Amino acid sequence: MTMLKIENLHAEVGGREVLKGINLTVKAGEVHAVMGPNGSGKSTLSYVLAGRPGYEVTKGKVTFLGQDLLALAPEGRAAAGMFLAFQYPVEIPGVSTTMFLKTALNAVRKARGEKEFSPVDFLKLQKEKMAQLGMDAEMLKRGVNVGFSGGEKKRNEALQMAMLAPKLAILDETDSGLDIDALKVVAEGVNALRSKDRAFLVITHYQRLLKHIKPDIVHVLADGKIRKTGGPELALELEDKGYAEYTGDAALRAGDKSI
Amino acid sequence: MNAFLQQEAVIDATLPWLEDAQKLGEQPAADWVKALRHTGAEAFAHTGFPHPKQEGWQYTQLRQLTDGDFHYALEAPAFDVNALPQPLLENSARIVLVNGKYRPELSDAPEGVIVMSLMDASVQVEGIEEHLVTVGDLGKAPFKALNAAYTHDGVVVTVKAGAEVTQPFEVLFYNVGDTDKAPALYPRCLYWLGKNSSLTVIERHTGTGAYFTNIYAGIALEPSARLKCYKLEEESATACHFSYTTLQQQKDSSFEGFSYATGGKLSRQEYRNLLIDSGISSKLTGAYLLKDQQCHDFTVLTDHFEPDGKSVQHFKGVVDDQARSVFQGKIHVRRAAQKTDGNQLNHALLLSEKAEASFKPELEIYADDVKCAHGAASGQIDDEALFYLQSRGIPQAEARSLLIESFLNTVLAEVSFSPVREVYEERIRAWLRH
Amino acid sequence: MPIAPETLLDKKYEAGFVTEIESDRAPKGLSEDIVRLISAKKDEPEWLLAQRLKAYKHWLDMPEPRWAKVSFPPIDYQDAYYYAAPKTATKPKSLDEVDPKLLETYKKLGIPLREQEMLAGVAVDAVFDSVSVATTFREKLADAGVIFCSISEAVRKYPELVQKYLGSVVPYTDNKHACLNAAVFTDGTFVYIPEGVRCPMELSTYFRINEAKTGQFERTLIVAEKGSYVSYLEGCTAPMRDENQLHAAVVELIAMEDAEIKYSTVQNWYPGDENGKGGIYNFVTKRGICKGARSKISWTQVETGSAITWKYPSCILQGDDSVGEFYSVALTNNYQQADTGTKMIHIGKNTKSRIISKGISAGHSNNTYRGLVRISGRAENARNFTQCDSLLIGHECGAHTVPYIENKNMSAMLEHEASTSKIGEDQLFYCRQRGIGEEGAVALIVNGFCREVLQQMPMEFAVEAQKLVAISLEGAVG
Repeated sequence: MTMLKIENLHAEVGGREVLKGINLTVKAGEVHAVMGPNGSGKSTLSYVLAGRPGYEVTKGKVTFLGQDLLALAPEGRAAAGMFLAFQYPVEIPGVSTTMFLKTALNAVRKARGEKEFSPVDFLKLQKEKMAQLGMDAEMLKRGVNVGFSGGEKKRNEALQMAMLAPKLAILDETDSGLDIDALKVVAEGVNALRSKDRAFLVITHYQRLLKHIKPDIVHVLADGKIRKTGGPELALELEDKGYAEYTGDAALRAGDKSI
Repeated sequence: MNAFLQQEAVIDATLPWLEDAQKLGEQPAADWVKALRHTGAEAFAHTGFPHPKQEGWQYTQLRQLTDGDFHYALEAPAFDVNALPQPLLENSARIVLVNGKYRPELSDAPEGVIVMSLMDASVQVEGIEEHLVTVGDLGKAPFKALNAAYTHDGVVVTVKAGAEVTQPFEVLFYNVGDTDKAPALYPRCLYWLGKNSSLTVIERHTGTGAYFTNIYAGIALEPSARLKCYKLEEESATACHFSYTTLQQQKDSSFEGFSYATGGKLSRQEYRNLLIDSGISSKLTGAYLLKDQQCHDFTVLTDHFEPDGKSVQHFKGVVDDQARSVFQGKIHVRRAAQKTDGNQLNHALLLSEKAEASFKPELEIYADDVKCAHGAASGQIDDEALFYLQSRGIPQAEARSLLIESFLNTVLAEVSFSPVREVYEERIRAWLRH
Repeated sequence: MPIAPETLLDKKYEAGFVTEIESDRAPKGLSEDIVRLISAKKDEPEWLLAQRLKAYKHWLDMPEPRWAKVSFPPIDYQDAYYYAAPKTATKPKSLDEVDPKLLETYKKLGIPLREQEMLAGVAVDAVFDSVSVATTFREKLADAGVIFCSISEAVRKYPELVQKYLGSVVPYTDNKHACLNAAVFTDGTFVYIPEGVRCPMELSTYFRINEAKTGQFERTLIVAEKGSYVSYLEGCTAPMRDENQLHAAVVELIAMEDAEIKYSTVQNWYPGDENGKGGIYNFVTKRGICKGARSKISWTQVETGSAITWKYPSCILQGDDSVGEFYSVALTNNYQQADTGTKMIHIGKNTKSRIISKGISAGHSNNTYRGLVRISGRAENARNFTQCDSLLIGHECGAHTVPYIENKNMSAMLEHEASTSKIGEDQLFYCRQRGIGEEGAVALIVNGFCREVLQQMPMEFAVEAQKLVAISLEGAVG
């Protein structure tokens, strides 16, 4: 079943075209990796899909579970089952993580026409997911991401993902700022969520995350377009050769031919 | 009236202060000068000196001034030219005002700077009244009004568009007092920097004996003009110093001001910094060192009209004996002034049991996308630090001086022109030895 | 960011209904006769009438305080009623005798007066227009020696206590609004905690203005004797009306040696409509004195209502080692104006004060923090910490900070910090990505911004206060 279909997507940020015609189809149960050099448009793609204000779609179409994704507000996309794990999770002082999670979870459930969680059920679920991620309960009392280390922030993203149980999870540079142990924990959290009904879009610069979250399909994004698509071996190839092939004029010409 | 603070003392406003202004009537003057004198006299006659319950005047008691008997003289006083202090920097050019009157024979301006007495400029420089007839309501600024009533003395300093003046420019206000017949001085000055010009000014105020000086200064910075203005207020111990500066900054101009205040028995420096266009940087910082029964007041308004302005008000001071310090700062951000970055800091260190410090650091904000913060703190020298230094063999007095110096250093760091910063540092060390 | 001035959403003011009840009103206007009439209605002793008349005469010539950054047309004091009471509430009575309409009113406001229905552990004095209509849990409190009753009743039953303390912290000469209150106050609450007693439950007063064109002038007096403790909470609402109604209250707190008074307010007077029509003028003088050594007074307020709020709950820190605290959330939306803050007057040695103020401005409103910290020459080692944060939502509103700081003692240490900011676009997007709608996200972030203050509220009310903050923001984004 096709979960996400991106067709000829063009988008601008601050008047500059960053995405220049993306085509991508993700089916339920698949894990896609989008790799690319800095400035290739990776993060922009994740923000455009999540509906961040200021990221303007100028052309193209995105269908998510049969719905026109671009017509939905950010919270509507979340309710429809899309989750973005942020590269730089945002601090919200004074709002405890528990409070935040409860508000988010109940808002999403309400939008889906489901019953709100009772406080007891919520705490049970939270406790269970925390344990899976090896998180300290003390963290829940602190303000969302306030004073969290890089690893704690990413774990917190993984926790939110586990709680919200999305259909499609986009992981934006989840490996950045993580040491290898934290990376493993977060990757395990993600792997635990893999299922035939759920898809992942893993956005990363480096191959190292893909050692822990094995992709089915790998795309190379450069200068706003998908330049190459292949299997997991493509990621390994990139690790050896880097992105040189995909940057500069020669690369662009080569890329154009391959599409 | 501000009953919020519920103070009681009352001063009567009496008006012999305007009598001497009549002496000016017989002098030839441009029409706008006559009109300005008239408006000023009327406004002051109406308000008198500010009432201590009036907002902005709760902390500076004027009795020392209003009980005194000061008179304006048209003639320059007799004085010994050799008594003039040496220029602060060896390589600077200097102009001299004695009792507010410009003395060309003692003066020398750097290349690119045109200096004229106020009265000469009033008829010769086109468009000057725009900057000298001032902005704002005289009814709310009695000292400014009183100065306007006496519009006669002072200088006008202009820098042509594009001129980059590299030689430091000292402006010396030398005041000769008199115990029997103490003079009242009302200089009015203007620094007018043309488009994309730059200048570094060292403004010194010093003198002997008793006097009352009440200065009005206009600073006009045209687009992209850059002014550094370093003040030393070192009036004689029996003098009263009041100054009111209106700074008008146009697009992309930058102002770096520092005021070092140690003089006078009663002083107030008031600034209205108007950032009337976008992209302006405006930094006014200072240090005050007060002892005996000195009372000093810094009152600074920074008014952001347009987007992308950056302003700093950062003052630090030490207050000894029975001295009193006042800092009243306000950052006003108008609706259009999005992306303003305003910062206000004031710290006072009290060195004696009878010393006092008062602050009123205000924010008035109507734009939502701004970053504004202020902080104020008052305390004494950190005992632990003192003990630590003493335990390393540094005698107590020296250790104290060291800690005070380091306390003031953070604000001195705002002075980007190092020769002047060194002068300030020496001055502070000398003060600490008193 | 799509934050714009409020659009179509009506602000939900759930307390805006009117209770149809027959009322006994004094004639319109203010005069010496009205003052006498109020006193007579309450069977007051001669000394109190004399005090009222003295205040009234002083009031006539007193100028209105002008320092606040608020504007409103001159108040026509003759165009209001100064006494209104439900006819059925002329005599104090047991709960069984209280008019069911009144019970219904309070129930609708979420304040059930029947003890079995109440929040456990909270006693309530319900003041309806000019009179107290019921006070709950009196017996239980009496067992502990605590006096909790309407001020009218206290005047009759405990005249010596009332005479000793009434006006001792806020004299009638303090300001015009307090002076008016001294002349025409009608009811309010009296609390007396005897030496060494820790009040066994939260005490609270619920103020309700119901009648049109009626001012409410209540008077609260709390005396905490040596080593005692009390936590007190007041709440206020009024119907939605086009006119402005005046609420000029006076609160006096007295804390003796080692005593502690915690005073919390949830102020939700009708704020006027989205065009600034109607609403309560909330002109309140609140002051506490830490008379004894090591005493403590803590003010916590959540101010979301009123067309105009003018109040500065203050502490006079007279006793050595005494502590004053002020925690405030002031939220203004539409055309509301708030000028609020505190005064901390340090007189005793080692006195400490702490001020945390959170101002949120939305719509076309103006929100000012105004505060005074004064360290007298005697206040050795006094300490103050002040933190004022403002949040602006939209670009038609204003946020202002006006602190006065006076230090006359070198050993004192004062710190003041203030900041102004807006809700970050990235914060908003983060919340929305997690499925929280824009209004919900704003409410969540604002509640986080206020957390330090809200967590000072007694548990029973903290949740209510949070909801109130969210509701008051409705229409601020869209």
